[in-house]
Amino acid sequence: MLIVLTPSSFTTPSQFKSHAIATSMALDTAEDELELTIQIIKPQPNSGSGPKYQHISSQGATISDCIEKLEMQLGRIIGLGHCATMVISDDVCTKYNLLYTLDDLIRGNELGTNTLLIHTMDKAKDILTSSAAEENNTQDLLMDITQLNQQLYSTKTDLFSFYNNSISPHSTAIMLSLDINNDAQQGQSNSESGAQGAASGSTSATSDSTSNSSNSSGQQSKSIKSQGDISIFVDGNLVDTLSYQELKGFNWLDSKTKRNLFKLENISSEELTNATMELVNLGQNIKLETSITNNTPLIYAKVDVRAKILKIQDENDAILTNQISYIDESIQSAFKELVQKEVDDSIKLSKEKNFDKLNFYHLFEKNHYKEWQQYLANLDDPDNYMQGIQVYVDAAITENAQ
Amino acid sequence: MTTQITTREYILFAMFAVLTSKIMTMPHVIYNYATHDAIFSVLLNMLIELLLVVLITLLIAKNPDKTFFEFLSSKITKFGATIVIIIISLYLLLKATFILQETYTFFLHTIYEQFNIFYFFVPVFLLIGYMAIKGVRTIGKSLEIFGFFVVIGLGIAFINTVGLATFDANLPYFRDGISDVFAGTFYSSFYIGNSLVLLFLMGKVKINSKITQKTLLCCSLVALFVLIMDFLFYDILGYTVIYSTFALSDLSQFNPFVSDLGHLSWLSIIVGTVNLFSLVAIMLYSIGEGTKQFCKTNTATIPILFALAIMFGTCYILKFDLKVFNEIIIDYGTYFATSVLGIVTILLFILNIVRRSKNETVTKQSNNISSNIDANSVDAI
Amino acid sequence: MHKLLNYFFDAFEYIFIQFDKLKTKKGTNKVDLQKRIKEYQDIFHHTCDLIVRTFESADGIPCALIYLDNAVDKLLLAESVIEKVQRLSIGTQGNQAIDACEHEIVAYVQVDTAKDTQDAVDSILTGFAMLLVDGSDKILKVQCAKWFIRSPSEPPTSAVVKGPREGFVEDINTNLSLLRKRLKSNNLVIEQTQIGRETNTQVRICYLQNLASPKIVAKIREQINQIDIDGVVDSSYISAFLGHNRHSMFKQIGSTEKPDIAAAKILEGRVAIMVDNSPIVLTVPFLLLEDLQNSDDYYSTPAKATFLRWLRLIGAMVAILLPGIYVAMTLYHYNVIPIKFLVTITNSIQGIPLPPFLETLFIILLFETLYEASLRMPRYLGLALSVVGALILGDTAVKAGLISSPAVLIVAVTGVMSYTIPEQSSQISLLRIIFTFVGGILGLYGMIVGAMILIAYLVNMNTYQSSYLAPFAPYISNDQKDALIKKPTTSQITRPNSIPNINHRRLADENDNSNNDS
Repeated sequence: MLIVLTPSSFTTPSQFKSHAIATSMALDTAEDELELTIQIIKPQPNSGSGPKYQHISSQGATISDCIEKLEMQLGRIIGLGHCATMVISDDVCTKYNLLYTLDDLIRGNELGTNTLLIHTMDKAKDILTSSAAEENNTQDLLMDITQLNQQLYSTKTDLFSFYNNSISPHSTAIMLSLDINNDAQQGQSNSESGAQGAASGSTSATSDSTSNSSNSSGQQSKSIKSQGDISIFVDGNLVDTLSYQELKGFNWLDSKTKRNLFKLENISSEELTNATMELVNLGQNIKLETSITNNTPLIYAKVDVRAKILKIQDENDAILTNQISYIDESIQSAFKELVQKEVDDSIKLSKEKNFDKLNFYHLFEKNHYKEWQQYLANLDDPDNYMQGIQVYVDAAITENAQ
Repeated sequence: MTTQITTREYILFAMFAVLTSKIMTMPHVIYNYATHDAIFSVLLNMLIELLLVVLITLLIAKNPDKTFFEFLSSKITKFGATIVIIIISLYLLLKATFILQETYTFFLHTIYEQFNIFYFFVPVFLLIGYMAIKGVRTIGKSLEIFGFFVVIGLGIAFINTVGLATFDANLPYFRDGISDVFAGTFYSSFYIGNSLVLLFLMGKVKINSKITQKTLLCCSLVALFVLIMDFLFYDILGYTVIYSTFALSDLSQFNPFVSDLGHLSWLSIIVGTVNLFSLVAIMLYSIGEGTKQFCKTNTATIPILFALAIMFGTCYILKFDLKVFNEIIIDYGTYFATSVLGIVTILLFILNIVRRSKNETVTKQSNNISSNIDANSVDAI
Repeated sequence: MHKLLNYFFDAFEYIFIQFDKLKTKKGTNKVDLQKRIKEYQDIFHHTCDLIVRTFESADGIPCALIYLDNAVDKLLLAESVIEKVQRLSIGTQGNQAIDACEHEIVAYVQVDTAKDTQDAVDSILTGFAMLLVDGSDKILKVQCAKWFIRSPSEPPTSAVVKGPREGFVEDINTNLSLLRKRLKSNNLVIEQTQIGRETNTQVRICYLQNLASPKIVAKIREQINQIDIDGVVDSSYISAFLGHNRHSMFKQIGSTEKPDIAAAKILEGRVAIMVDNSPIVLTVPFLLLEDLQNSDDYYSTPAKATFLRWLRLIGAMVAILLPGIYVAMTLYHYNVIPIKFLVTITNSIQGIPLPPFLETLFIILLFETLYEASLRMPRYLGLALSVVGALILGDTAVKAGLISSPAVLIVAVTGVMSYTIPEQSSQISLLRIIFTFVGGILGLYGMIVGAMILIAYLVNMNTYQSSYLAPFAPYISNDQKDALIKKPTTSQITRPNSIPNINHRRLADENDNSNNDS
């Protein structure tokens, strides 16, 4: 057998030569078709420096169609085994149902389940090519941004999660949304994104993640902007792209989120008068109790937060240097109000847009199955179950992590 | 002097029989019928498997000097014994064929873009044919080595997936009653019953005084591991289980153990392959042993070669397509498997409780494992 | 007057002696001695190194000493035999003359009478000198062999950091003395035989009578006695006849060049086989585990020994499998390689004209050729070869783009790793090539199946009532104390059960203090 099989194996080329190994993909629309851009490794013979990449695009009716055309164009098989990120433009999300669009990628076994999905309002291709020289890699940057968001804001945005959430009863999947920062001046864009980050509560890590450079053709510099925006999908259809501020309420109810910045205003106590405090949430314990009373699903959330005071400003916006080492009642009550308000806003938004980011469906289903089924049966539209859900929050800062 | 395996090796045989084919396509098949209660079907399957192991081990312990054919002949006449052995051999042949086809598809699913059929079948036939022909002692000693790698591989491949589990993804259980559980067990009955290979080890085991207890304990640990693994599979993959054909590789992709070094699915591939091929070799040996008894041949070589030919022929006819296999298994194999398992279980119950006749004498061997002189090698000198 | 009387007495003594000589000369059959000398010269085909030294005893009896030039201690012969015979009278004739020489005249420890001419010929060949006395059919053989013998030194393949440095030499007697020095026991039995029609090589079977399995000893004895070969040049000739799977690439007979190791193995119940003219002593039964163990392990701390054993095992496994895995990954499974490694490898193999399979095979064969040439090359050219091998073949070939650096690195690393177990280095090299083929043709699947076939083959090998992979397969818990994990010597209470022996106890039990006291 060896004698028969060996000669052919002697001449089999390496897969690195026969395959174009893709590390990222971008999906846009072009007229009535899809435009797929892939970032492939560009071999650098005997290179001691980092990897180089190139971007190629093709159009087709489906992703498989695009890949086939790319293969014909390159003369090599497109290897998706190492494709770690996939950027999808808003046009694609609006025009197509992503469940069907991505179906052949999911059914095929080549693309890993951990492939990160990223939404963008701009052209997806620009996200890939936004680095200085065209050949630089943006995959690491995208992965860093996405994984940071994943850790801090519990926005799990990989292919597997997307699919799993989309086909489950609550049908709601999310994707991190990134944009291109088109500002010409390097310093301006840095400070802007930094200010935006502070105002919106995104962390310094997020603002640091922008990259500024100019490409080889000397065009206006582009950079990736991440502000914690999330795109919401229901049953694979894009519902809306919501800002970090609009979704803050959900973060309070999710035990996996960390490092939320929040501001308490009009704090009055013995030492403070109408002061404004900036605190950071270092971690939270959440207990969700559910009940279905009079055919109304109720959620009681007990949120215990470990917080750290970052800044205190008095009514004249002067920064106070005295250290507050305790959290008094006024702070607690302000905090409680803030949390309830933000939660109410987010829940209201989810009712308006009809999405269920925190999977309340499963929460009620596992705790009160029969009552929940009855509740759903009583609804005119069972998919609209969020309308009847009420959420009450009892939030407290249990530990002052000074 | 016949070749004999030690108690430890027998326990390894049992553990491999319990583990193999429970962590590949079985979880996916069960989910199609039991959905949220699939884990209870798995539990039921493991209990049935453990029951078979215990019954067979008790039988072996009570009859250390007889082969299964000799034992059955003394109970239900030679003709009856022949019929039983033919049925069990056919059952094992079908399972072995299915496992090979499953493994082929497994490789296509995981690490091969294309995989020539002959590239697959020729080496594996060499391997399982060699092991089966060389006999139970070779298989037993091989399992001692393979078992170590399987344990290490499974531990590394899955240890960190526990952190990803939410433990409530499939709650509430029994939302539609318990009928789904039995449906899941019924339609996955083809995956259980690997323990029947142990029947053909009768008369070839050095009996230890606590062989049944030790076997049950070790197989229970394996069953527990299977339960945990399948639980994690259902919990982490959630609704996408319907798209995941192979639990072993699909679950290990979620292991965030060493993300810079890539996924550990390749480790699970090694573990799975070693597991599957070892069991197929054991099945092939069992088929050879079983058929040689009534074919009245001295060696099992010809029956084994014949079985290999049938296996390849079956795969060829069904065009090496796992889907076709699955359909046939679900449509017909399930009933056949359920019947065989049911009959064999009842038979084992009866054989275990029937009193020994006065003419039979049971000799218990005193096993001195510390001396451990290789019985096979005495013939080698 | 006094002087005159002395003169007359001396004259009479002289006349008397001459008269005696005349008397004996009359009875002398000169033709008889010469005939026998000629007989021996004919047997040896008049070879120029067969020396015949004729002389007469004090009482005029012709004698002849026959020996091989450069095989005997000539000074010893001169002092102990020739001088003694010349100065003393034998005083008798016929076969009693030889008896007189043996018991009264020849002043040497090892003298004996030859049984027949064939025995005499065999003895001459082994360094004896034959003393023939005219008129006597008997032959006195004097053991005065003085071959050129190398002094015991540390064997190059068994160097240790701490421990004895003596090694076996080509002389079987020296080897035996080295062994006896370590096993001062009356239970040490040495059985001797001769193998080889032309070489008449001495072979000695050594074992402890109270430990070794009688069945194994009997089997070895039978197998050795059945050897019918023209010549035995080295112990490997004997080992070829002892194994069961004679076509196997894996060795089935253990070997050592160190007397401490041989003694330790005999103490475990093994049988050692010494072959004259070979510094390598064979030991049976053999387990693969023995090559994982090193004498250093027993002279250093158990923790260090354990670490080194695992290192050897992992080194051997990596050496066998890594080139095949590399080829399989680059040919069939790029998606298994992590992205950062993949980029590096992709960059490295750009422009390489050879496919990975051929490239790796080429580099392996190149390394094997380099290794082989370095063994044969004269030492003063060794440095030049190192420069050629390292710089030109390695560095320049990579820079020229003929071969890729990952492949060179992998082959070089595995080449070094294959010497973590020097006794198995040739097997590891062969397996490395086989698995490269397997990986190149069948990919990772082939590597898995190949490894399983290899393990199944190894577990199936049994030699002299021992499984080749014992104590791992079958698992013997008692022997794990000295397997991959080395426990202190104080824990080695019993001998290994992997080797059949008739006395398992090694250390005294702590409860047996009363026996020790008495």
